[in-house]
Amino acid sequence: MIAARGMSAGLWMEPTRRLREVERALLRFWGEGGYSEVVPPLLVPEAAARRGSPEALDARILSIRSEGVGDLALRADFTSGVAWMVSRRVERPEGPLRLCYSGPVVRRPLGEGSVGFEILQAGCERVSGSPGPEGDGEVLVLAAESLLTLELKAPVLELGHWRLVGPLLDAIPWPPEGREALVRALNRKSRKALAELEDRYGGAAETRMLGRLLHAGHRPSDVEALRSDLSALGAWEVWEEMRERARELATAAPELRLRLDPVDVRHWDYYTGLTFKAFCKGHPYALLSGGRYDGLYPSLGRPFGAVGFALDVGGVCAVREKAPPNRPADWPAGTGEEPRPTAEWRGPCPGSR
Amino acid sequence: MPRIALTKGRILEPALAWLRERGFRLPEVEARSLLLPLGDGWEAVLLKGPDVPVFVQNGAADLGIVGSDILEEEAPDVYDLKALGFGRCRLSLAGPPGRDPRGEGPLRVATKYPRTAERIFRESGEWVRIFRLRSSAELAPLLGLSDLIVDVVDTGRTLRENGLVEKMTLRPVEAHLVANRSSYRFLEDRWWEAAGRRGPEDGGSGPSCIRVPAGPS
Repeated sequence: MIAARGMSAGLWMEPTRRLREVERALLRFWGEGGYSEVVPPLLVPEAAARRGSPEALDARILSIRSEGVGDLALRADFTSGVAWMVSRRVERPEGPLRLCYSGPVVRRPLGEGSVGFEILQAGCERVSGSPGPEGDGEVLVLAAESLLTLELKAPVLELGHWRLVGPLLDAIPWPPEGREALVRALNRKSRKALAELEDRYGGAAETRMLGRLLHAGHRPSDVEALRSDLSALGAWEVWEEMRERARELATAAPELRLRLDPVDVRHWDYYTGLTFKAFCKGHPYALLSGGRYDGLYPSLGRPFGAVGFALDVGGVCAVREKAPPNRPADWPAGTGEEPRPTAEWRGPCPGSR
Repeated sequence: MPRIALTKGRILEPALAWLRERGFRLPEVEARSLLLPLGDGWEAVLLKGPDVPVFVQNGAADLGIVGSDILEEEAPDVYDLKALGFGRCRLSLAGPPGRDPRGEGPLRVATKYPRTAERIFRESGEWVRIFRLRSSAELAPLLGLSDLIVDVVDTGRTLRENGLVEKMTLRPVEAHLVANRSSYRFLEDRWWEAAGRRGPEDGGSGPSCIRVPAGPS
């Protein structure tokens, strides 16, 4: 039995076999799509780990003090390690770099009690020579196809976009502590907390818009009703961009259910554009999450842009165990069943040394 | 089986009444039963307040009804869908009558809500030393452990019986409906209505809810 969180340590034979099956299937699928596997470092300087992580993950980094070496940290996510490798090896990519990885990440639990836990993650990163949404569609479709390849039962893929709410957050004339409280309220989807903050710091057109977006839930029609307000903030084009991504997904993965999370501000300090997450009924956490993060490479001295995602492999195994796909027992090894074809526009992986 | 975690004690009865209004058929709550069948495939689990967000955050329960005092103290990673309007009381500062302990070094405050108290006193600039207690905070000033307490006050009877007075209301408290982050994506319509929110247009079971036009838009 694999724990719901998908712990990847201390697994006995059968859970290990299932975990490796999923891991191998993903790496093979991504390899066929032109994504080359890399092995980012497990142990990194603590400062580097913190620089490359969203603030929310920062509190979960497990650090190690080692005499004569300085403070080190176990990787809490792969993106910062991949970025560290790329920034040292690639001065200017000739085309997009397509990379994939698999391995454990180690996190400190929030609250009291235990020391840390491991999660087996696998994911993809697409790094290009400049920031911007180029490649978002490719990676989003790849994420969707990955879910379908694993034959998860009725996954929901949810789209958000930092630039849909970012301009609103930026325009609110509140002190830093008020804005931090606002982000916390939005992360909890708490309209009451939002109303209390408006009482305390003063309501503004932007907070009222956020309230309406929060009320919209997952209804695109409610977002579209805000067209004039969003246009005034330059955010309507973002909505059009999301619809374009939805069209691409509907073509590539028509079985997938798409949702919208218009006020997704988790990791708002990290993501800079499109964000996406996938959920399966009965599993308590997101199985996949990703998005565009164009701020990371410039912080490492490279003017690159990047988009990527990571899957919780143990979580995938837990979902497949609860709702087994209609596959031969020895899937995917040796059945002759091929993964779904990848989109034509994904070419080989250029630009790496 | 979908599950809602309920807080035992003061807010249990109004929470059960609220569920009854939502169409659930509830059996009598026996003193020691911790699981209650609710009908329609749902069940309720009865927990101590601080445990409700732990169960919901980690998916052992899909939804929960818990006091806002607990939500502020624990800051769980759950969605806070609605203030339910029952279980109302207040988080207050209380202590022995008459004496103002300020100016005699750091205020000693005993509480079951150390993080909330620390935040409140930091905002007010008070110099405090906080003692975390698990129960019976009223005893702390009586036995000299603290000058004041921060605790939930309903009628004020427990304070009076222990010779304490309410000095200041710090926060209003009421029951909230909370949801696991993943379960939220799969809620039935009845819960969207209960939360006073608009759910997805596909009701959670239809095709894509981002309408994709046939031709270019």
